[in-house]
Amino acid sequence: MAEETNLNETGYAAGRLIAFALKSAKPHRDSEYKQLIDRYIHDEPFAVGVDAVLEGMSLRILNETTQSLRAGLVLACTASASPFAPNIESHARGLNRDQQMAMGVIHLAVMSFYYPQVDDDDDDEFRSRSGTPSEIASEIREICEALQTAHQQDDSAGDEMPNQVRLAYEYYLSLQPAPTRAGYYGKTTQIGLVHHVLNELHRNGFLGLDGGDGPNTRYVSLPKYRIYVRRMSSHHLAQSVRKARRAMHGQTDANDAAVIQR
Amino acid sequence: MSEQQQPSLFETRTGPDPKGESWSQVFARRMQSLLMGFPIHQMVARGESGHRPDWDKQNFTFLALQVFDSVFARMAPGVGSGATREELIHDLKPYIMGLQADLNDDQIAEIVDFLLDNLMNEGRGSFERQAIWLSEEEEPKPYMFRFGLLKSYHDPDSDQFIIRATTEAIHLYLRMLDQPIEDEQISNLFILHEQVRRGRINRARREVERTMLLSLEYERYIEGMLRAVRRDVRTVDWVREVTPKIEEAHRHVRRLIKDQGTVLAELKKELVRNKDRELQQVIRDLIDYLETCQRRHMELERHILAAGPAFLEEQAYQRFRSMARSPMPDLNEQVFLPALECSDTVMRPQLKDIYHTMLGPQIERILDLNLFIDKLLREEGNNEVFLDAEEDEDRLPIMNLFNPLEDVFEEKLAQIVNRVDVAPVRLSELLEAGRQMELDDEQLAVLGVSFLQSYHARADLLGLRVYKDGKPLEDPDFMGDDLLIRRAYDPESRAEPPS
Repeated sequence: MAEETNLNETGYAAGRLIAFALKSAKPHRDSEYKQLIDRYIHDEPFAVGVDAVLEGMSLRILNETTQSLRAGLVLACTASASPFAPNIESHARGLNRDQQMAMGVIHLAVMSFYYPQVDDDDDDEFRSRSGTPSEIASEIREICEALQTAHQQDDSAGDEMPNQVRLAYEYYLSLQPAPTRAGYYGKTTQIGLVHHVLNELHRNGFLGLDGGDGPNTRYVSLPKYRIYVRRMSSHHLAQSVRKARRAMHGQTDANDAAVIQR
Repeated sequence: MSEQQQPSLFETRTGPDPKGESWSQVFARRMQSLLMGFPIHQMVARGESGHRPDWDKQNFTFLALQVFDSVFARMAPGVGSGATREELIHDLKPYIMGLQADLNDDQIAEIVDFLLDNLMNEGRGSFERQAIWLSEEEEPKPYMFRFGLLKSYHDPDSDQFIIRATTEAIHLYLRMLDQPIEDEQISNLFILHEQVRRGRINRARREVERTMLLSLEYERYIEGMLRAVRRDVRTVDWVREVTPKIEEAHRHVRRLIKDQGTVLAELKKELVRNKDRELQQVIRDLIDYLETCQRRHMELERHILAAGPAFLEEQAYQRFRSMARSPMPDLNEQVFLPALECSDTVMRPQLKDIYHTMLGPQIERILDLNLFIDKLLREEGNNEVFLDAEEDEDRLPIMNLFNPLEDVFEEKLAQIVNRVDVAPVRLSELLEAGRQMELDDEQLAVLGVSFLQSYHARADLLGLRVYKDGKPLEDPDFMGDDLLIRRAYDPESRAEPPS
């Protein structure tokens, strides 16, 4: 009987914790969430139970350190079949195929904008940059040009580059950089698309606002974004983009070449 | 009065129209009819009294009916036909065994013999009962009424005793044939009509009594039906179950009224034709009777006609009333009207609850960058099924009007709008510029709508303003066809628009 009560209590607590995590609650604003995270850190059976429930929902916790756990659980999907997995409808609604591909490259470029060095995302003390959509858009334009140059100069690097990335940067470069004279700020301009991506990241708790408004809004990265970027750092596309960014700034990194050849 | 004076029960069935029955004759006939079931009741009482423990499971009423069925079935045309004892044993055996499988043939034969003994006319079976005969002075006088329901004859050909039913049994059995009341009424009126037409007024009198009783019975029947419907009017399928019944009853009553009218007309003719004063009186009585019946039927017709609306009303009433007991609330009475009286602060949390309850759980997709970027940069050909452009267009908010259109169009739009920067332009000129750039009608419509949205200070989609007589136009309903459109200036810069 006591065992059953205990199980019920544990189940309820696990459910509460997952609910907090799903709605991206802030532990420093919610004492219950904070207590539950403490319990997750210190109570091994409870942590195993929570992980099992999450696994059942095709989710897992990305936080690797106790310190990052204290900032709130970061959930990721373990399979694209998860009911929580992102889809075009949820995050890229109304975009055509070219825009979707460009959005993919923009995401990668935004990551390298906030975390230019490979180990930046490992450094918890790293102080994030902040950028406005137009700053980021112009940097992405440079990254795309660098990618294009690398592609044209180095065939071996081009072979590594998937066709979609080539199509995506070509599309991005073909776009009008600034808003139209009509003031139209849609997804058919570079800034428009970047703004869309930044806004999407902001809505999902990856980026925070750092002053400014309208087109001059400044975005800074949040711990959750770093966790995701760290997870993405081994992604070969992310490495290509990061390498292009360094080439653009005249930096070289011996590690990058090694990684790409792997 | 002696037994010989007693009239034969069925005497009136044959021969010419008698002078009519006296009350004492009618009384005797009814009394004897009433007594005719007694042999069966007595036999059942004896059989089920428990004096034979091995018969305790048998139902003798049922067996008596089976005996009659069996005998009637074997009474083929011809004097000598009927059932033998062996045949009856054979016919009844399955029924007796059905109730008591452990009985042997001897015991079954014993039961059949018991049945026959009690139903026969002769020997122990002959039934004798004191009946009452009313004298002409209406004084009750007792007499013995002897009869039986079965009779056995010796058939010399087969040297067997043949069992046949008596007229009393047939009479009794006829009354057991439960005909639908409507059919009875129709046949009764037909008989009555025939009797009146052939001038058998005295016999018609008996038939009219039947008409009267049948009309009473029918009234009870219809009222019972309507009452049953009213009782559970909520569960009744009005259209499919009740309406046909009501319609049928209505048709029947109308037919009765019509047929009675025919008979009445016939009777009234007979009244004029007949010179016999005594018969005239009888005919007048008949007319009285029939008119009573007709009035009753008219009353019934009114009931039936009123039943439809009354029950629909009742049904609606009960349906609303029943909602209090059902888990689903009456949304209008219990939710909406009270909600109108509530203040915003009281209502808001409740509305929120209702909203969440009605909507059910919603899944918020997690922007899993890894999966999402893979999805965005997936290879062509191995993509999932995406919503086609058309479907996406439907979902677009109205403000994204330009979105589904081509980029080329937007460039053209920008060029057109650039003209406003140079000098204020009329809408007609802008549209003309659009036509020169080979915009199609739909694109021109979008162009027009985007300019027209600039009617309102808040609608600065294009950063344009509509001016009329040198002043910004604030009337969103203004439908003037030639408007001056110029660049709206940032109110903070305080710069006056160029005139």
